[in-house]
Formats: sequence, structure tokens, C-alpha cells
Amino acid sequence: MNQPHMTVPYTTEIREDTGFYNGKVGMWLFLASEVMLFGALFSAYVFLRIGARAGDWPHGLLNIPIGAFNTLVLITSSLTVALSWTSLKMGNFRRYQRLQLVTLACGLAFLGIKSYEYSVKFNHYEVWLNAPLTAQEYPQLAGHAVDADDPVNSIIGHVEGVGSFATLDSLKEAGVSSLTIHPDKFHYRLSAAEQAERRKAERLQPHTEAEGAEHAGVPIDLSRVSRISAFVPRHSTFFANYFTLTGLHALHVIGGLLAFAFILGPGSRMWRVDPVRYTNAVEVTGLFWHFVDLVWIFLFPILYLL
Amino acid sequence: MSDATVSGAASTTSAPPEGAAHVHHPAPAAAMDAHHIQHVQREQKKFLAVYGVLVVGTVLTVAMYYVHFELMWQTVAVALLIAAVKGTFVAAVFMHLWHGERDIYRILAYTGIVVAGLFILTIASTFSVPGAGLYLR
Repeated sequence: MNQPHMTVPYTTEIREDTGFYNGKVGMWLFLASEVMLFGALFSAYVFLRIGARAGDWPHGLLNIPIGAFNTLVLITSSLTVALSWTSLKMGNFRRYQRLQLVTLACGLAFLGIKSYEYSVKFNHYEVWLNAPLTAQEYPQLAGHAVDADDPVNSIIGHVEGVGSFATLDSLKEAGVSSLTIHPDKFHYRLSAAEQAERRKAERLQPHTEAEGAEHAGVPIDLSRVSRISAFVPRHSTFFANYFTLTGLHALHVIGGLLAFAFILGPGSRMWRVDPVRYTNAVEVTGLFWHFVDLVWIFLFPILYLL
Repeated sequence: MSDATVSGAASTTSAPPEGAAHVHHPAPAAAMDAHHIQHVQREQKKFLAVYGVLVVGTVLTVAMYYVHFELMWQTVAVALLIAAVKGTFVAAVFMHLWHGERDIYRILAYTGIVVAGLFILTIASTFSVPGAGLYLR
């Protein structure tokens, strides 16, 4: 700041040709590129989803109540961002600070809940067998009756004493000869409608990962196993999509939080020097935050419900 | 948001007059303030209303999962419709696209064309995948 006075042009004043201050045009151009980035991933998702064979796309593996709650958390943070900006426009810096603290809390809550969801997925396994389950095994291991047209040859649930990223090879190398599985009640080979019917009939809560643990462990010889994977990207196209989309989204949430934290903390000196420019900084970062919220509004139904 | 209202913030703060250097339309301070604050408060009400819409939309989306339609494509259509309505409200009100920011449409129009192209090409290409599209039946 000891340099000869240098000003960034159009931080507050309107540029004739664009009709906006520069920050806003810059942010919108960036958001346009973001739309194309997420648009590409969304269209890839649509392609893979429509192309999936019936029964191959998992249903009910994500926790809907938690996802819905996270949606509300993010929506609330968008509101507090919008209101903090209007607070600045009315010159009420205190109110702005309080609202932005709520925003930061919401953003951190969102990330915390998301990482809880991730960790639950990392500890949940699917075990594929060499041959379809026998009639006697179905009720216990796959949670539904035998359907000759749709033989099920995998079990989902918790596996005792296996880390998050174990593969068949790593288990063999470790000298494991048998797995103890605590199967889930529902198998994703059931369609969403079938699962819903079943839940209605049994008056059960929607699938939660904890359910698997309630079931008694069933020993499975490793020689029967053809593949094993936790719910990590390598598990399936669905989880590859899920982690790519939600992971990229979570990075955006982190970026937005860092920007807001900077503006609220060390950057707040600008409020005393140039309040209009400061208000604009909050507005432009808010635009980014609303965009992140917007992406989640589409991600939630697409990943959790369809 | 018009620059006039943003500039108004400068006159309502105890900040040094540097901020005032950017005010384009100096108005009698008192008259400007009352009008300006009224305007901002109206905007806050709009934000709260949109928040209500978003919460209701989220509840509806989740409720839909428990109701379930006969055909899969109906479920998909309704879920995406609710998401589109929510998204439109966020873009129109939280991101001020409805009022005042229409010049941004020029940027967004090009983006929209590219994204629409992406989706059309992608979806069109599924016709060359054997057995594709079964999901929606």
C-alpha cells in the first residue's frame, strides 16, 4: 500500500459498456464456466443413468432424511447470505457479522454431515458371489424372496474386521479365508417402487446404514466371493457419479466458506475505507454461494431420489 | 440491484467520505435514506418468501419419494420440475436476475446454448446404446 496510489477500476462505479461494476461481470463469467463444468457432469450422469440396465442402478443406498436435512442447512445459509448483504446495504455491520457467522456455521455443518455420510459409505460393503444365492439363503442374505428371473449374486451389509478400501486381492494377500457379513434388509436390486412397497408393508423406516448391524453375522467362505468393494467410487457407476458430483460440490462449499471467512475477518477493514466496495464483495461472493446452493438443489433429488 | 441503492449504503454508515466519492447520484441524505431502507426491507421480505418456497419444495421432494408414482418417468419429471422451480427462485431472487440484472442474460444465453447442446447430444447418443432408455419406461 506504500506504492503510488493505484486504484482498481470499476470496483464500485458502473462501467458504461457492461452496465455493472467489474466484480459482478467477472463473477457471472466465472459462474457461466461453472454452469458448463457442472452441466458436463450432469449430462454424463444422465447418459449413464439412462443407459443403465434395469436393476443395475442402486436404490436406497443413500440416507434420504440426512440428505434432506443437509438441503435445508444449505438453503438456510443462502438466506443468511442474502440478508447479510441487505444488512450492509442498510449500514448495519453488526447484523451482517451475526448473519455471516450463521452462514459459516451452516456451511461447516453441511460439510460435517457430508463427511459423516461419506464415512458411513466407506464402511458399507457389497460382496459379489461366484454363483447366485440359493433359495434358502435369499431371505437371510438378500432380504427378499427368490425371483428366478432376477437372480441375485451379491450381499450388501457390514463386513467384520475389514478396512474401508479392501479388495478381494488385498484380503487374499492378508490371508483371510472367511468373511463375516451382517446383511442389510434391502437389496438395491429391488426397484425403488418395490422397496417403497416393502417398507410400507413392513412399516419400516427408510433404509439406514445402521440397520445392517442389527443382523446376525453370516460367515461366507472367501472362495465363494468373486468381488468385494465398499461403497467407494470403484463400487459402481452410481457411486463414481455420487462421489464425483458431491465431492466437487463440497470443494465449492469449502471455497465459498474460505472467501466469506476472509471477507468477514481480515478483509473487513475495507468496510471502514470503502463500504460500497465491501458490500459489493459480499454480493459477488454471495452470487457464488447461491450458485453452489443451486447445484445442490439439483444434486439432491438426482442422487438421492431417482 | 441498481447502483443507486448500493451507493446509498455509504451515506448510512459512519465511514469516512471516501466511499462517497463513488456515489453517482448524490441525493439529499435524509430523503435518500428513508427511501433506500424501505427498498432494502422490501427486498428482505422477498428473500424470506423465497426461503419459504425452498423449504416447501424440499419437503415436497422428499414426500414424493414416499408416495411414488406408477411410472418411473413421472417420478423423474416431478422431481426435476420441483428442482427447476426451486432453482428458478434462487436465480431470480437471491441472485437478482429477475430485477435489474437483465444484461447478465447475454452471458447466460451463450452458456445456456452450450449446456443445452451438451444435454441434447448426450441424450440423443443414448439411442445408439442397445437397450438404453428402459429405465424411463
